[in-house]
Amino acid sequence: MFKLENIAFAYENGVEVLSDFSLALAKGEKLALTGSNGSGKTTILEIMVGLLKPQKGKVIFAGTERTAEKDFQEVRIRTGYLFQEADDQLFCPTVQEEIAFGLFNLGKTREKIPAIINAALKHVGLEGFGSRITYQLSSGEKRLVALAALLAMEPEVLLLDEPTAELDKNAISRLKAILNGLDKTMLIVSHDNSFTEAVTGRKISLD
Amino acid sequence: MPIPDRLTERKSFIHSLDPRMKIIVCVSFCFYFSISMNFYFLTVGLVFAALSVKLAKLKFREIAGRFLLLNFFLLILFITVPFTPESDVECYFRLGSWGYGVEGFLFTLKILLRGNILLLLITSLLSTINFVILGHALNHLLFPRKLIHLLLFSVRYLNVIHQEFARMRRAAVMRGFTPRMNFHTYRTFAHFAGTLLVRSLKRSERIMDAMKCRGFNGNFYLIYHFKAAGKDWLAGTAMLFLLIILAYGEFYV
Repeated sequence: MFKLENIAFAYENGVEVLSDFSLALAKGEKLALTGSNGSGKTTILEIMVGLLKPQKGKVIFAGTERTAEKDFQEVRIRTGYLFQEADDQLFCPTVQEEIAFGLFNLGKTREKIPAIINAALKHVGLEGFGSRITYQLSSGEKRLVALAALLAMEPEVLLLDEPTAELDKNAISRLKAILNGLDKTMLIVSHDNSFTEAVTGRKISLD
Repeated sequence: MPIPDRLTERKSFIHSLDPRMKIIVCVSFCFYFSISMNFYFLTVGLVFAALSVKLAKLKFREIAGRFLLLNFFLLILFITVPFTPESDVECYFRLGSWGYGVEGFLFTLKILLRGNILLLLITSLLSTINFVILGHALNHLLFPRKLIHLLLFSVRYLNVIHQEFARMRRAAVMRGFTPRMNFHTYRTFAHFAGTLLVRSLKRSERIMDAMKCRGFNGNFYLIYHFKAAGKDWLAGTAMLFLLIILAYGEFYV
């Protein structure tokens, strides 16, 4: 599904995070990515969806190499990327608008949207949260709303950046159950070993 | 929380009206009363504005803060504006060569009436609309979309920035920082401001990324639709009719 080949990436300040990095994510595979702080885990995710451009190497999605911004627009719609900090991801005033944002971008009609919103909220166990104000949610609820907003778009791949950060035990087990019930390709960046063992099959380390 | 939404959630006639109608009525009445020079009509306006506050079931205690702030400012006008150094105008009393002029006093009285009418109208008609709904209603009134999204994004992230500031302040206080009138304090607050600016910029970049990841292509969509019921049309038409009568009475009779 996703392939990174010989990626090299350095930030503008000269710090080199990746040199000759390769990764293959097969369709339906659930892969965990670990590594110490600053080892480039988030950088890899951002390169995969084209938010960062590597200096060297290839990004291949669904068998096609992606280089220009236009190529990545398709990648982004077919990929759900859960950010490390939910506040960065939830920018709409209410939960239902948050979920509707992606659906409008996909070109769904106004009539179909309410049903999809309700189904997505039900999926993450937040029924009736539609009219809640996003900034008044707890961190666990924010994370789940962000996930619901991604799932509503029916992506083929999920990229999750530290999904368990800031979550308590209950929220983590809820997240585990949701992810285990999904039949999608996944790449999970996490330090939480028990979580990755419960959800993913293979594990690679950047260290 | 820096965003006041305590006036928006209650059941009253004013709260139940279509927000678009409330915006139109409020803006047109505010426009009229801010140019009206007629005492009778301004008094009618004040009664009308007080009535709309009553209809919105707002208690004086809740709006006392803004009410006192405005009237304290206007009090200063009463102390300064009517005084005149000219000797041939009609005055209530004189202090040395300065007279407290009748004309200036009446003029200031009109400002007082106007200020309070506008305050009460805006409080009862606009402050009773939730920010989010206000944004959507403005969109339906063909207000520029970029400004509306600026409003909605500000509401959303004001709170985040406020929390970030509170976090930094706590971190500083935990290391023994107490604000004083010295250079160290000014520099620390400058650091707060600078850090806040950089973090906000970084955050805005991440938000833009998040939007791109969900297929953002430059178009914004709004989910709400409003429906004006019979009573909205009735109330709106009645108000605009009243406005026309007032304006006709003042400018043509």
